[in-house]
Amino acid sequence: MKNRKRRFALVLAISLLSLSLLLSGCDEFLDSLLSDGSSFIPEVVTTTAETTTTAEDVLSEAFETTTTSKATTLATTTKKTQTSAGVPAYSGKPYVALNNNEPAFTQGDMTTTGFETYATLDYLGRCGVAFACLCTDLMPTGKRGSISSIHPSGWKQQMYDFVDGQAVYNRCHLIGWQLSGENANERNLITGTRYLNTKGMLPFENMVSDYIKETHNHVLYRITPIFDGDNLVASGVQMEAYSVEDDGDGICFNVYCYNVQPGVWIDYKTGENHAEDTVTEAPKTVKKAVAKTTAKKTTLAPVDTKDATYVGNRNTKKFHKPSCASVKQMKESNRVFFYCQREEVVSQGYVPCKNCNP
Amino acid sequence: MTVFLCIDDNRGMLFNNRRQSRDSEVINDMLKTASSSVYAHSFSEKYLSTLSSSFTFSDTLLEDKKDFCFIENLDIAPYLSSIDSVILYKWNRDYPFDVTFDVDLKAEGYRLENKTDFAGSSHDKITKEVWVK
Repeated sequence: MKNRKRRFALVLAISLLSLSLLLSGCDEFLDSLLSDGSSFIPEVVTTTAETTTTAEDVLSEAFETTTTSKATTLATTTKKTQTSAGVPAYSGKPYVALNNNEPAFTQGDMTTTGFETYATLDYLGRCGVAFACLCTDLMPTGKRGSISSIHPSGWKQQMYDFVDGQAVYNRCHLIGWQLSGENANERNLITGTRYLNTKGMLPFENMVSDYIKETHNHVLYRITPIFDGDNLVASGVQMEAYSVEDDGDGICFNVYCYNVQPGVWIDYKTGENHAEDTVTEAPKTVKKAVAKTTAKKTTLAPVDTKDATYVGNRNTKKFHKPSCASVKQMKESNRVFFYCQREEVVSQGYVPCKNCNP
Repeated sequence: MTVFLCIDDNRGMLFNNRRQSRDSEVINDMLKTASSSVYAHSFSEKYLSTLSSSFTFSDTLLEDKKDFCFIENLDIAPYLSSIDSVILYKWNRDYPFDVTFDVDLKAEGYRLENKTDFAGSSHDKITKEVWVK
């Protein structure tokens, strides 16, 4: 009996010792991950194993997150989701530079062997990081195929007369077709607005594509869709690229493209959307190419604006003069009353209404 | 002076201090158009020197009023009085931009003398516009 007790005490002591060593070891490991490495880009935040990649949960102000994907086959599962925290609010430009346009590739990522990798969908059916070393070999040689069979997370299509092509959402390639020739790959298609697709991402895809065609060089290229929490629609997309043979002299960028559609309010949690600042009859969900839907305005009662200087919409982040028609149409719960100068409202991330020009 | 410039659909010239695009056929056309050596800023040296030995590099090419200047990274507005002709190569593409060509040539007294399209080595259609005073 005594021996058994001693043995138990010994086992317990060894276990506690092992646990403390393990924990201190973990700290060191985490520290080493988070410290500046010798690479030209600061931090490696993700685990590297060929089986798992974790994405940083919250992006720092400089947005200096990285993923490492040395493996040519990426059997990745995104355990956490990147969020758009730290990214400036949308202010009318389709993209914004991150970390002074320095992408976060490591020296170990540099290669002149073409590859493309796509993360597996997460438990909500959302895409993760797409990473490639682009080159002429990966570019399409045939005609573009249909991608309509894919319904990315948050796919709640609606048509608006004021949207180019009417459809608010596009099946938005992470790695564009002109770069990879990837058609109906569910790991490469997200629900993106027309604006994200054509004004945000396409110019960068054009630049990379034309550079590769002209030089036959390789370009490291990583696209990270950024989801806030459990949202089904990405808030935006981080695009990083770096030309290998000329050390970034030709192509070097790190940008965030906003997944917004001017004039359309989007519920990123579900993908539902409606015309901004209007009370609408819910537009009909579109199955295929469908007739136009026109938002119908209703007449609303005057609003007590409480002598505020400006009235903001906490959802759309627009602000208005108290007399603006949009104020009447705004949900009461979305109204924010400002009693300050215009500059202060703007500094809080609100953008002026284009109708009343506050 | 004759000045050559490349711009995209947004009149963009550069993004992140890099040219938006490149095409060897544009360079060939430029050299063919110029009757003498083409001057360029040192910004363009690494790129152009791999393509042709017909370029001369100088950071004061506009101040020095060189006859033919290829401009990628400079604002030509202060030198318009010395510029007789502006030749624009349009990529007919939408690229990212943070530097644009802001000179309104018409308003500055230039007229479009000639406009032609040609295929580049990596661009389907490049438009060449010749603006003269």
